[in-house]
Amino acid sequence: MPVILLPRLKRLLLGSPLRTTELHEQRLSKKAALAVFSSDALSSSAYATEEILLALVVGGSLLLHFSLPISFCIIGLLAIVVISYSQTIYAYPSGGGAYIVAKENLGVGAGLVAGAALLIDYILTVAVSVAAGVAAITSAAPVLYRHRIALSLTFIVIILFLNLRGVRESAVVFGIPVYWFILSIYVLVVTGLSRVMAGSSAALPPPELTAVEVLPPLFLFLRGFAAGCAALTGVEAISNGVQAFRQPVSRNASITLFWMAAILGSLVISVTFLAHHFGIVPQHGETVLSQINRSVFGRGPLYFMIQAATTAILILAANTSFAGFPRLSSILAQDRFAPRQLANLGDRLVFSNGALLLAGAAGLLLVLFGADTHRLIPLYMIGVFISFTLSQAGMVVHWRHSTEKGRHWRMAVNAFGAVTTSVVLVVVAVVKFTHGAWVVLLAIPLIVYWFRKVREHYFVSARQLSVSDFERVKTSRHTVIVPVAPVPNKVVLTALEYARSISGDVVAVTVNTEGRDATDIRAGWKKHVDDVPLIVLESPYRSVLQPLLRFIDEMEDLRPDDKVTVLLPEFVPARWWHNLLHNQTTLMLKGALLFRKGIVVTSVPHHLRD
Amino acid sequence: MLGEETKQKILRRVRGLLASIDPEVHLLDVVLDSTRQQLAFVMQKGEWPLVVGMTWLDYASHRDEELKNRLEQGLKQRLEAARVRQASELE
Repeated sequence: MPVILLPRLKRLLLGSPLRTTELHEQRLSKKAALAVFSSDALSSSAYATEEILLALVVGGSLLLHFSLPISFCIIGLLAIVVISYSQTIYAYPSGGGAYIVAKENLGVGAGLVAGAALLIDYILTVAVSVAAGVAAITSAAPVLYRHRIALSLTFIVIILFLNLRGVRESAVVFGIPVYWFILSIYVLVVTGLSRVMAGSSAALPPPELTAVEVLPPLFLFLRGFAAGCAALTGVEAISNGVQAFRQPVSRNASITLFWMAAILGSLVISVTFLAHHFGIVPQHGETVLSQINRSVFGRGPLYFMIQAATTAILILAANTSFAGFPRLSSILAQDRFAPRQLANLGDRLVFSNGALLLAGAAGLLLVLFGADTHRLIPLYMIGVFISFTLSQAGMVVHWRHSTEKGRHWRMAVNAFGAVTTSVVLVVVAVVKFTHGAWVVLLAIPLIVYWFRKVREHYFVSARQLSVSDFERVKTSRHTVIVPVAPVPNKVVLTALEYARSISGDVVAVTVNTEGRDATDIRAGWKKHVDDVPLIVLESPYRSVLQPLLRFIDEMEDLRPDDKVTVLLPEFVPARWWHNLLHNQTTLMLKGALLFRKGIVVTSVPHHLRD
Repeated sequence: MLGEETKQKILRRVRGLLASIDPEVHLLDVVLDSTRQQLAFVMQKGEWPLVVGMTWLDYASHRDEELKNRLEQGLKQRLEAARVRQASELE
């Protein structure tokens, strides 16, 4: 790919760059924000019921009736979390979510744990949502099952592309599938429930299943509850992205949060009820939602329309993370806990590097886990509940130091939220530990350690670059070494002109790889250059770089007061592909010298005409 | 820059001395700096370029035996530096 064409291709794919001053215009209305920030939470209603049933089914068909009480517990938990987060939205209108709240109120350590947990959660959201979306496709078209990894990766690339174009345009693109899904599932639920109430659809008992694991019912209930908590993933996204809302940001964000909770709660309970009513159990190759859909509409056009809507929202649920991950990683980068590149706004006013990192990490997970939702789900939720707990605990401390009216009841709300989510965290960690939760429990401290090492590096660098202890070192000499080809040409002569202009001590050096007589080489040199000595190094093994680098090192060691500059004559071909026709010795030398202390490297380009 | 005649004279003298120190070391060139005070003897042993520095005054005032000692000392130092570099390259 010619380098000169890259900007054109980038502009064609991603659109023209936006001015920094246009940043404030990239604000979302409540409806647009519901699509951008809630697709993750809403889409989890497509697989939360299935996860509950999968956890219960190991105990046999007798325990499947736990699914409804479990769903009610999850709705109760959702209400607690949402009420708690609405407080956070008002207290922190600039966003940042659990990381900022925990860092400001509980200390840096707690903030970093929350940050690490959230980053993992965002990556898993992309992986799980895309895998579940592809599962909805393969439920309707089983022939595609063996292509699920390729399909998943394709969807990630599409979402990445849409996000790199900018948040407003992605809100438009993602709004349609989100509202289409909400409408479709309500059509399914209302049709299903009306048939139940009209008595045209009799309740069916679940198939006879024997227990494959003998576990206490309470433990299985808790396992089902822990699995169903997948429905709560993504709830914090609105609180993290408050600043993306239109003014008044807190009010709009809070209203959107309650809209999202009401829709999510009603979907989870209705889907679970219908699954229970139709006696549906998880099956290999077809999702629970697909089975409900088939039971209500058969395999007619409405079935396929709802499957398509489910696929669309699940695939696009990943978009919530593409809004949240880059934003959080940019905050971490601004605090020097993550590489600075993550804080850079791209051409389209989005944190492009964060989006690319997220897509890469989620893609890797999908490949490693074979794009299998059920293998990915156990890794999920630990991060979510750690961030919930730390955020709510942070809010308790926030209200304790606050002088605002109503701080006592606000503190009580958040304290209740913190206690509830911490209990759920323990439950999830215990019942899911051997199913994969241990991976996340191990990964979080490792990421926190990495955060600290990154910050340490930035501090050490800043200290070393500080001008406060700068001592001027007087350089009394300056030697310029010009590596040249054995036969001089215009590029070399141009470089020598420049070398002479910066120092009186210029030495040209060449490597004789062809076994030519050094006297002949020097004689050829003298015909064109009579004021710069040419050192001819012999290279019995035809290596060019090694003798040159060793010679440069020797010259550097010659005198302590001597500054050595290596000046590289470089020609630039008129066409990009002409580079392929030439040795890239200069480029390799430049790369090798990059790590040599005390040596200045510069190049003198000579542009060739077409 | 050294005149050709002077350079050849120096090269002849130093090559003779180097042959008795280490016959594997070849003197490639000698360079005089712009202050006309500092000489750099560029040598090579096998693949390794070695540069030994000396002031023009020392070069001119030393007898052959003294110059040989200086060169031997300088070479020893540069070969040791080369050995250390080679070891770090192999790491």
